[in-house]
Amino acid sequence: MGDAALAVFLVAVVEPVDLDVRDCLFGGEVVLHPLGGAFVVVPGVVVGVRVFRGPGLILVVDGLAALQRLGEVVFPRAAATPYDAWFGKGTMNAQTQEPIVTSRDLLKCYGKLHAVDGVSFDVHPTECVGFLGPNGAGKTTLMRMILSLVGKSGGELNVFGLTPMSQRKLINRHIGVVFQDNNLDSELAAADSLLVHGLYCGLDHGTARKRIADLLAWMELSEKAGSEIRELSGGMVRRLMIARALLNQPRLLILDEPTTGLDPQVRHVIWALLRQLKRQGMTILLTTHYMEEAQQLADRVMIMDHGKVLLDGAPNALVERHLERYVLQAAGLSAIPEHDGDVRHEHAGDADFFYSNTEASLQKLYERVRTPFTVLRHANLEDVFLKFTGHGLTE
Amino acid sequence: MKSGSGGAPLPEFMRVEQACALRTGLFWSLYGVWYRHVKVYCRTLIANAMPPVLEPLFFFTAVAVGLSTYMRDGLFDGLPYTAFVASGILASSSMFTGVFETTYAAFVRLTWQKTYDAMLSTHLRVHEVFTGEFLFCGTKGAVFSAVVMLVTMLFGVKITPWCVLVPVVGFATAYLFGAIGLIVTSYVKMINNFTFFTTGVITPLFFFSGTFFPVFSGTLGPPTSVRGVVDLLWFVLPLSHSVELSRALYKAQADWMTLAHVGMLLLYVVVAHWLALRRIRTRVLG
Repeated sequence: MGDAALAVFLVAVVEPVDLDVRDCLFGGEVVLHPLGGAFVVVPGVVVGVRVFRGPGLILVVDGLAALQRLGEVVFPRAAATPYDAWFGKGTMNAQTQEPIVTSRDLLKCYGKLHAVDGVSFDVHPTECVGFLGPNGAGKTTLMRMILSLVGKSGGELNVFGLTPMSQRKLINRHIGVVFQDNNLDSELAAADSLLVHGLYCGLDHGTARKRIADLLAWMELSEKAGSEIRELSGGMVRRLMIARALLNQPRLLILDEPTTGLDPQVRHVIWALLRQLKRQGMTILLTTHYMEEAQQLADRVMIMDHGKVLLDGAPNALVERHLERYVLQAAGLSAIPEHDGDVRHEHAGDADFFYSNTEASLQKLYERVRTPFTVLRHANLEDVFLKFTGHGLTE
Repeated sequence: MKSGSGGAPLPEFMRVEQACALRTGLFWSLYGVWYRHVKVYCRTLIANAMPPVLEPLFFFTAVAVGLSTYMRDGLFDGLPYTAFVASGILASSSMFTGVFETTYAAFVRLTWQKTYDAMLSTHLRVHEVFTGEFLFCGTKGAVFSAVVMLVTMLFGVKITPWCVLVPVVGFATAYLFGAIGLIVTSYVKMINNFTFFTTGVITPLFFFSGTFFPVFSGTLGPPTSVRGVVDLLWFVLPLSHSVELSRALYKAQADWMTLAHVGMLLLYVVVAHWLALRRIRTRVLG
């Protein structure tokens, strides 16, 4: 390429990688400069390349070496952003430990309602983070903010080191999302509904069809490629939605309640698929209100309620940190029985919970209050969840 | 093995990074959206296309063919009545197809099917998603206006060589009314509310833009007389210009007014496009 003259359009000299090329009408390749900054390179002609924000210049430089020298002059700030580390030229397979998502005191208000209320967290590469919370806790709003579908009201949010909304075009290119509701085009055949999504992502027909065939084969849905979406079962639709989310080779996969409304067999199949992606190094964000799902998949869970993160940690660590080891759960007791000093009692609705670190004390209690609805078990994430979000209805 | 149990290996493109040039420019973004709409529309083509094709033809047979038997050799604006109505109706059918796409259909996509969430979760921007939709409206307008022209030819309506431009007028009309419909949709909370718009705005436009009878006196004057006011009102209606332009093609005549109609149509397109994108942005990015 060194001999060919390159027509180069310099974009957004001021902010490193604050690239906002709305349209390269006639194609053109975005090249991220190692020093931070971006070019749109159009071999030959530059007609039709436009820039909407930031200063732009049309230059013709002789080869990549000259481009490099030029970059050193026009991008004085040598700050490499995390985005470069992930997606810069020649770093496609590079591993970096920079967090993929960082959020600081993030706020989203709808009038007086604080849907997301001062949330701070980091999501590191290859991590699977589960957002747990009752309906209306702000989980979905948070996911939509990461996807640039909802703007923030305050605080800071970075995805791949970039700012959602203003840099959505660069961010969303590397995110795959499985929405809570089926929003595949129900009029189309399964493969076609994936194809249109591939086109949205900027794939050409051939690449899209190849990837769809591969993904359907992986999900063992190949024979359903021609079936209409409305003829498919809930589990098949959900698997198709996961396939759709993977078409653009995402670095971050967002799943909004991926198994809500599915039967147990399908849930286990989907968990297996997601674990396979996880082993491959996929970074996953998932919202759920199934504790079991969080325990199955998440390296870390964040328990949310009323827009706030109440707890953040590994599922088992949270149980150990916040609760006794054993729980005796009894329903419909007429009176609270006598119990040992190390037993803690809680009452919620018509149920009574007795917590203790010694199984023996609960065993004694169990003998006395035995009913068909009495259970003695290990404390689990659901107990932690209920302890922090309350036993009553939150709506 | 149970279906989809995760036993199969991940597809290769998910395991090994493959260089793949993404087509992220404006053209390809618009193409993706346009392709989706065409694909979905064609999947149920008969059900989709029957009403918008048949309806104008019913009007044409009832009004033009039916009434014109009572009109002896009378010319309307220099055209036989059948040609007069045919040229008007192809513009109004483009209007209907554009409006329907971005009111009822877009509302369903917005609130129930969540189609726009899926589009906007990719790198597509709001203006690309909805411009693509207007282009699809325009495509439908071009096709339907051509179909109306061809079918009315079977009833003996004569065309001129200029009528090859009819699809262009149809395209612009449907694009404009696609944008206008989307402005309305950005305000609408319940699907029933659209009836106010269709009955209160679209139906009067259909009848009073010069589709069935000449409204314009011939010269735009100051609004000092009733005649002047009516002319001016007519000139402000967004459908009038499409009707007049398609009529100019049928007459194979152009004058300064024709140029004014082109200008007004383009002005409306630009303003409606800009306003629609501005409005819908706040609606979809809540």
